[in-house]
Amino acid sequence: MTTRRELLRNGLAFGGAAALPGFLPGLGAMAQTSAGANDYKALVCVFLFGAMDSFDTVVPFDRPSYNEWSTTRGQLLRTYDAAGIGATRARSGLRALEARNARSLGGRQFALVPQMGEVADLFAEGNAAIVGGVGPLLAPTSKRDVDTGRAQLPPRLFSHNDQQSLWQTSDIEGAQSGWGGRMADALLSANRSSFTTVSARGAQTFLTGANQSGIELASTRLDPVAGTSGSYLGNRTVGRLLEEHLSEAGAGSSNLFARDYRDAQASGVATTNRLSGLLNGTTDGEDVALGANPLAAQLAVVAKLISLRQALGVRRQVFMVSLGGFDTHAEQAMDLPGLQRTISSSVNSFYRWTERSGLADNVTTFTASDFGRTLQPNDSGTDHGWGSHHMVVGGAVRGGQVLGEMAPSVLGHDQDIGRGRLIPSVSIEQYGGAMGRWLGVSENGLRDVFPRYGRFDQQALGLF
Amino acid sequence: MTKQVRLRSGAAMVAALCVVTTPASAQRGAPTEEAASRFLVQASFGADMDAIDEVRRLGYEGWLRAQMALPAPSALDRMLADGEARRTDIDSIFWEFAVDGEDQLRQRVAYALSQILVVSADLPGGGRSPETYAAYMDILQDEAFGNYEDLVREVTLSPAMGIWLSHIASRREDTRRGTAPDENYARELMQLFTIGLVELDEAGRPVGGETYTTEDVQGLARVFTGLGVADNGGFRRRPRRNATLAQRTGLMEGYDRFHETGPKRFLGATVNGSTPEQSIERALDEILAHDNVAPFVSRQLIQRLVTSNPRPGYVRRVAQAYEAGRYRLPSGRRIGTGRRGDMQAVVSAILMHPQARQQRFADNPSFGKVREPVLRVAQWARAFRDDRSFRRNAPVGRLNRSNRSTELGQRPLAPPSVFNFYRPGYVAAGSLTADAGLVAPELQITTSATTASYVNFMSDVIPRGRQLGGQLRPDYADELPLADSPQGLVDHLDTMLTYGSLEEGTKRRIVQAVSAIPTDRRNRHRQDRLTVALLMVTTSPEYVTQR
Repeated sequence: MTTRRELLRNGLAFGGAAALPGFLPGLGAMAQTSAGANDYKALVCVFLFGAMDSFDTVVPFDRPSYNEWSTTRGQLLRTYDAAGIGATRARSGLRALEARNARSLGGRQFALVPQMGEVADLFAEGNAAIVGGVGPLLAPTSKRDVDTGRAQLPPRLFSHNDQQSLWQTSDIEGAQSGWGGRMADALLSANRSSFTTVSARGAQTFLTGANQSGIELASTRLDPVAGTSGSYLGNRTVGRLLEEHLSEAGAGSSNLFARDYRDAQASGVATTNRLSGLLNGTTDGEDVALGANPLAAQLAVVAKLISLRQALGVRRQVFMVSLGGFDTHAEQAMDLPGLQRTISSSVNSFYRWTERSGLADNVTTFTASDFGRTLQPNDSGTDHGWGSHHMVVGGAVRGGQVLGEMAPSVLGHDQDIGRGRLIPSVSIEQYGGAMGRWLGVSENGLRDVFPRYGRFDQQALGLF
Repeated sequence: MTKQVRLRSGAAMVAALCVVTTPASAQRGAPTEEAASRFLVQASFGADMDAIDEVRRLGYEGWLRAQMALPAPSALDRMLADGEARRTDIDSIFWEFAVDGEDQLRQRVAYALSQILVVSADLPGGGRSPETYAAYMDILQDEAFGNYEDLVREVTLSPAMGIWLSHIASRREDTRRGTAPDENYARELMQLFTIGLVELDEAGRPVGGETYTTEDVQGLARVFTGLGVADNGGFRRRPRRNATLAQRTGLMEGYDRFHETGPKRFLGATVNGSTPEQSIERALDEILAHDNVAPFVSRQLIQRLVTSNPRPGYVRRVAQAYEAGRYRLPSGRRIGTGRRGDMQAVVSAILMHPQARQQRFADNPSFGKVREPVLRVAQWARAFRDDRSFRRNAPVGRLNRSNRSTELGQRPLAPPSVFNFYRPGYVAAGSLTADAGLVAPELQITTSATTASYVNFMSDVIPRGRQLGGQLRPDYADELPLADSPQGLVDHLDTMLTYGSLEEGTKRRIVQAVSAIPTDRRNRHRQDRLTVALLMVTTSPEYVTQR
């Protein structure tokens, strides 16, 4: 159990601002010695809130499989034609994927929907992989076990907030840390910085560990906090007192909420001021942004921070960016294609920046979501499912492969627990475990990161 | 029903009540200024001196009853007051009602309800018909002092909810098309609006089992089939482009041939109904009778108004008021109709409970909550509201969008999802509240970004309200003269805004900062002194939190 003094040392948002980010002794020296690009690695989690329909993203392409899929999903496909927004799921419009591991796919071929064209290109280049059937499991689970009531099912399946939590933390809502943060904890000895975990949108438990709670940085430029750069309203005394006030007021309160807010404010002000100077001094990474694309804007923030890694003194980082709107119970044909375009163009824009910066092998981006959806549609959308297909992008990835398991697109097969809700064949422990191993976390460390790590075959997923 | 004239100041309200006024200090048992101010932080969007005086004069009970007698305003009427071509946007309406409304308690309760029965003002396709959302807001306004069960029934049939949780135009199972009914509303109705995920005892504590299964969701989903647009607007997910106002705002109606007429099984019950209206009424009868509803709803309302971690006895008492539909006020007078779910009983129970009113409970380190940004800004705006500043159709400028580092970080009535801005059970990892086993929902939106942006926002807004499109321009006429005596100014702000709870050290520092601004013969120093004082008060933890 980490002591409060240790929390303070690492500038945890609620550990007090005694050790302000970047002012840690010796940090400057460490930054110099670990300056080489080769020694830097970052994971970027792209969380798709609301549960993305991966059955409407990665589509079976060989004729028999496509026919199966288009029959099961017939009602949904009809809404695509009727949507009148130019989106289609006709086979001729799909982007076929030539998988390098085609032989292990039993004659089946897969494609991405046309809106994911850039990801299809990355796949063809060998810089992206698809992983089929990822999801939370307490242990390898079979349909037989589910039907006979013997299966240990993850708690609160199909509940958005709990499954978001389960994906991010291995526990239901209320969890105190996530595996991104725990990985950062495990790498602490190599990487003592308050900027180890960063969210580009909102507080995320995924990034919280014992030693960091995740900085939120919402834009590539940041105003310093009013009054904390020497004077306020032209008055130096007032400026000094205001600055003191923002970091000290409430410290002596007995009320826990007041003290927590004071800690958060003190730390937030310090972080903002430190970052403000750094961010406003460079434009590197800003070109990742694409017009009004909200995901690209967040990835631009990530890129910019990566470009500042030496100044921030980090060698390992975990980022989280996110997009909402995926809970397509209705009007899926209207809503999903636009979101897919957003994902594809922004992930590509970010990847190309890493290439230009000589960091393509040092950054790995992966998608995650609450759960998959039902293979069987309702009238114009889909309902809550379980296992889903995801994408991993990066130079270090053994790309051009369709890994995991792609279940058939019919109902009633032996991974279907009803309406095409899929029992996952790749657990979060295996998916995240592969990421962690690449990041440099040891096997023992990974057992701390994932409580159920040992229940799953860690050799099964050849991602890197 | 149009509300053309709204009483604007506390003084006018006092006159309207036509009571023989006795100076508050002369009445025995009247709340102190600080106690009244604290009460108003729980029961309104914020106090000014007139409101404090009113609470002292009427007493808590008197004030509650007077507030509950005020009629509900209509957001829809307000939106269309100048005709459809010149609609007032919903954000402006929210701030006008919250900051300028005399019916403060109703506004505060409606706002709390909007965070439980969540629908975003950013409805899909809502740009074309903002009236749809305004009509939803009216349901919450009306039932804030009505009945929670009625609220759930109306919300279920509201087109805004039908679009938001997609049960509008959900069809019964169709084996030929290979489709099943949309499960969205069925699930979230149970999980978020009525019974939650786990069985609770009468004090709101989890007692183990899950309340519903996937099969229950699927069974209940069959109930919410066959609903379409009101007034013969058609079985469609959106009203037609040329739909009438009645079609766009009226409760959804049944299109029987799309309804699942077979038995609908969920939660151990079977509901039969041949029309959507029938099935829904019976299904809601079942769900609303569940023992979880009272504690589930009560606990969350307490969290919105008073404290994040209410003691079991507090939740139990409020849940009892919910079940009985009645509450006995300290005077002995009973409030409520006696029908389960009575909101007046519930709200009275929440605000009059000793846990809420007595200072000794407020002094407990675990008591209270962080206040979300909307409440912090509203309190400042209300305390210094300029009676002339609410002009028709004046947009609230930056309060509409909260993205950049100088923004508020929260847009009222528009949470990112049906899970609201923050979860009732959120625990802030690494915090003192977490160490003490407490939940702190509002800490979920407290990050390194939002704490800093709040300071910048207030720094922009306090001097002139300039950033707010002119709508929340402050009137500091009463405070500016006080700026010549820093201690007096700070004491006054402390009483009005933080009910006397500012720490001595903090107050000393604020007085020092105010004094550091030299006086000038033309009194220009006054605004600067006031700005500094207000910025420091509104960024002090005592202001940001409440207890």
